[in-house]
Amino acid sequence: MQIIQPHYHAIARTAQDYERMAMSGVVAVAEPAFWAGFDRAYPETFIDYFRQISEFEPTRAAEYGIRHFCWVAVNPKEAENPGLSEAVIARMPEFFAKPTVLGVGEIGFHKTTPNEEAIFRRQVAVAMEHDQLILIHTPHLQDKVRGTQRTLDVLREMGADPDRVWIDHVEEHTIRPCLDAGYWVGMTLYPITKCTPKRAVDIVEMYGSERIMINSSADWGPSDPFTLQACIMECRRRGWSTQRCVELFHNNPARFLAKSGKFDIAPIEIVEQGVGASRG
Amino acid sequence: MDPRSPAAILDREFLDVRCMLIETAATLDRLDLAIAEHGADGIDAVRRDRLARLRQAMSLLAAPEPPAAADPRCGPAARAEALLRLFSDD
Repeated sequence: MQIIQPHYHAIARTAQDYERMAMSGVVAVAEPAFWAGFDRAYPETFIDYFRQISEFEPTRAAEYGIRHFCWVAVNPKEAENPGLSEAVIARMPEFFAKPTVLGVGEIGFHKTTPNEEAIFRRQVAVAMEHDQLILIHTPHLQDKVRGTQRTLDVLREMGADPDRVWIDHVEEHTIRPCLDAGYWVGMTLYPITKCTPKRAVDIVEMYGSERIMINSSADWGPSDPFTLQACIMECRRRGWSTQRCVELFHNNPARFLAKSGKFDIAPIEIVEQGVGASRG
Repeated sequence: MDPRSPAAILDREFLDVRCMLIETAATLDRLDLAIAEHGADGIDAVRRDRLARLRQAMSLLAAPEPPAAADPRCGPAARAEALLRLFSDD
């Protein structure tokens, strides 16, 4: 089955990931800009990071037949350094012209602080000004409800088009207001925090799969890109058809990411042929 | 058997849930042993709050009536959402 991994931090992973993902059906990954595990001191470090994910990483993925796309942004943690953030944001538009840059992300809240909100608003404004897609990070643990609500408030106040915004890391207690407001949402599968494969399938069976994407967000912490395949296996164990799985794990990300005007992997419709036809 | 039938779900999930419950039990045993050996002085207000939330979560799961779902799309019960809210700060 062909799979799109819509949130994957390739620079934190080895080539073995690419090899095994390719062997298990992954045809494309999208890499948001994120926190490096430490707070960077210089805007230039971000610029080289953006060059890495928009120029070099596609070549590494291509060795395994995987398409690589990316997003650029200042993440919420480093928004606590407004001077650095502003300097980086000023350079972001030059990356919007690159063929694999899909938009601005991941941006949003970590602890829902005033600095985070100011930099979040700045980046939403830049994205809207340059007609870019927006990818939102929502807080991981006890701050998730508050951060998600504030995210929705800010996006509404700024007049962002919900159909061009993906709010990621939703769980049972945050998915409803995001979907009801018309946004695309993502569920991130992590071994301990965020969602698990079985819970993600539960949620999709409750709400339907429209405007929902599933990702592994594999990074430098405890994470595993193959939680995506585990989730597909859970769907199949519950009797999902191949087409229903394709809709969730390939076609939904293809439809949303295509709104960038750059992601060109089309949705798939499976045509089942009879035994006689297959022998043809 | 329909893979979404109650019997199929029980058959498929029994060992996983059994494992998770035993892990929880063993963790609490480990905690009690540590308190017996070292005392509870290191358990400050933040940690006491975390422990209290864990105990509330277990009570919630053991309650005869599950928390009702706020949305009809979610079915009759919403234990996972209730636990996530229990572990939220707001």
